[in-house]
Amino acid sequence: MREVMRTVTTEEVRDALREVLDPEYPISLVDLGLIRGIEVVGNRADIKLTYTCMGCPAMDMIQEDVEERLLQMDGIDKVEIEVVWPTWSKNDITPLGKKQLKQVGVV
Amino acid sequence: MSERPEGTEAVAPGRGAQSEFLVDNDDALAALVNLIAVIGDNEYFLGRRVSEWADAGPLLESTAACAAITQDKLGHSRAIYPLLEELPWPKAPTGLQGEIDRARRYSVSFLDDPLPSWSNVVAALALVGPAVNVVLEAVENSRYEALARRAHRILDEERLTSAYAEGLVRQIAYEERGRKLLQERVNELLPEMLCWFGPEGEFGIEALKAEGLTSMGNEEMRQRYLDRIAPLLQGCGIEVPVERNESEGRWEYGELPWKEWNQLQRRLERS
Repeated sequence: MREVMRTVTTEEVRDALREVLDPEYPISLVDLGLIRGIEVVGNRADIKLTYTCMGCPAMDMIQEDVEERLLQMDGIDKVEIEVVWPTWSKNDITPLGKKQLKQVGVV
Repeated sequence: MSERPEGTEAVAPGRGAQSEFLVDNDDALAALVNLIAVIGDNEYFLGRRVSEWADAGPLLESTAACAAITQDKLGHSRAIYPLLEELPWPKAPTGLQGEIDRARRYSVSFLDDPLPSWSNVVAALALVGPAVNVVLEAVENSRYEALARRAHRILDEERLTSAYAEGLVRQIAYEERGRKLLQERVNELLPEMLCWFGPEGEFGIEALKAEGLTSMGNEEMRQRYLDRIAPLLQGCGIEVPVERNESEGRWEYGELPWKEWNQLQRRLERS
């Protein structure tokens, strides 16, 4: 019988990205407001990602972490990351992210 | 995460959207490619030169600031350079990762060599940085959205650096010796920076304006630049060879050294 690959939803991808932490602060990329777009096309996840600053030294590391986590998902076998440059400010951090940062003495 | 629309901005360092931007007017396209190379190279070399003071500033705080400014400037150049690959222009300049990656530089000659003194660093931050920012303001509403978004983001990040650079000017000019050194640097650099915006009515800039790719002409940018730097310098006791013509609402700056001006690379040819 032919195996049918399951279709992953964007929300499932977003939930997976909640497990990818910023290398500097112990909060997820989602809660830090860095994920600016998620689209699932077949078995490919297209991610739009920004950074807290344009000179972020951890760009490659973060992209590798995103790719590694999403490729663990059943139904995703390719990840395309596009870096985008909208403005980023602390207003983009989610309430949960702000709470987590406060717990570690940031914000 | 804020509920802003999912992004449509293009290009990342190394991973871009690869969407080609089309401009019908070849003159405007050539000027756009040049403008992007000029912004990228000046950001790159300003970052590079400041980085050489990231272990040698006069104070621990200024040394740390040099490292932070370097990180910003190199990041800005890395965000700008990939746009050169999007534009349908044969043999566009490549982005720089290293100082000698490309023989032709599109940066001001003041940044050619390592800055020999702290007064050079202050002058570079106080005079080159604001000039680049004026050009970024001119393209902040460009119909080339990928450039406009980057310009907006860079200007957002630049606010702190601009305030810091103004503080450095006040700090170094506070004592007579520092003021004298900064005066020498201003005398050396200002003519190049005033030329940097190009002669009034420059063909390429006019083509960019006509295509909605930039909002300001040469003279408008130069006047805006002088609005920003002249009062600060003069207020600190630095003599600036410009005069405010209040009746016409503009700065008069006399003759500029256009004979030494390299229009393509936007720099003075130093003999």
